[in-house]
Amino acid sequence: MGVEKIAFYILSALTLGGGVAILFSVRLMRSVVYLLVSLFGVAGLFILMGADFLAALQVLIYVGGITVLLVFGLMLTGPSQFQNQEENRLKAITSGVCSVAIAIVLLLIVRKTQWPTGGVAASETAGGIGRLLLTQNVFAFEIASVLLLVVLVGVALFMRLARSNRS
Amino acid sequence: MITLQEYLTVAALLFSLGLLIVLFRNNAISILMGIELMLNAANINFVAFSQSLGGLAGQVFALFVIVAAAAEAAVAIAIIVLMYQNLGTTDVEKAKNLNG
Repeated sequence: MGVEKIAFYILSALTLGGGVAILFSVRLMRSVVYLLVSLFGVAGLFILMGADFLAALQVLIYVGGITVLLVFGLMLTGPSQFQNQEENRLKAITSGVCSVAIAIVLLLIVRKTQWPTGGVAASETAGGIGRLLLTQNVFAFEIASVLLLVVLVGVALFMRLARSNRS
Repeated sequence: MITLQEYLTVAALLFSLGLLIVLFRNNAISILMGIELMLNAANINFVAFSQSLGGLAGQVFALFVIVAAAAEAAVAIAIIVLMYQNLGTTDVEKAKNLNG
């Protein structure tokens, strides 16, 4: 078993273990930390797949941005929401059955399909992604920038309207 | 050498874990975390296919997914904070003003 395989198993265990810990943790602050572990595991998987630029973006945006945003949201919603309430038994059973069924179907699809292989992975990712963004995908790139601008302005306006409504 | 199928297996498990969190938890912030896990599973799939088929199109797509996830998280946190201010809870079961 090579080093790559061992790294793959460790990173997959981090990713999936973080997800399981989110599922079972009662305190929300801890589950944010488990989400951090899971996202770091995904970033490691990206590095293993040769997508180093995407791994750096994952750490910057997810770990540095979204997790901090979640902590902010948690802090703004008050101490009564810091713990998950007891779930009822019926809901637990139904959601468990649903997601296990989805997992079985997905795993069967992964197992049974003949996946195409034989491509050559690109060696230089950052430059290639930049070139693709500004040539082939330039329209999507502009749409994404407009989306971010709209979200920024929209969230600010949203909170301001809410505050003026309350007072 | 790690095959494509192993990456896809991890992504499938991560996706169903995220789905389980979304269905199981009542707290809106927990649900948001489940959604982030599902988006990450999709990203793993994109990058794995991009690696095994060659080319960078999958990685560019994953980049757009990350951008959309960041925007979605910002809007979702704003909605959750407003919901807390109006209802005093972030429990999604209690948000049934439109229930009729």
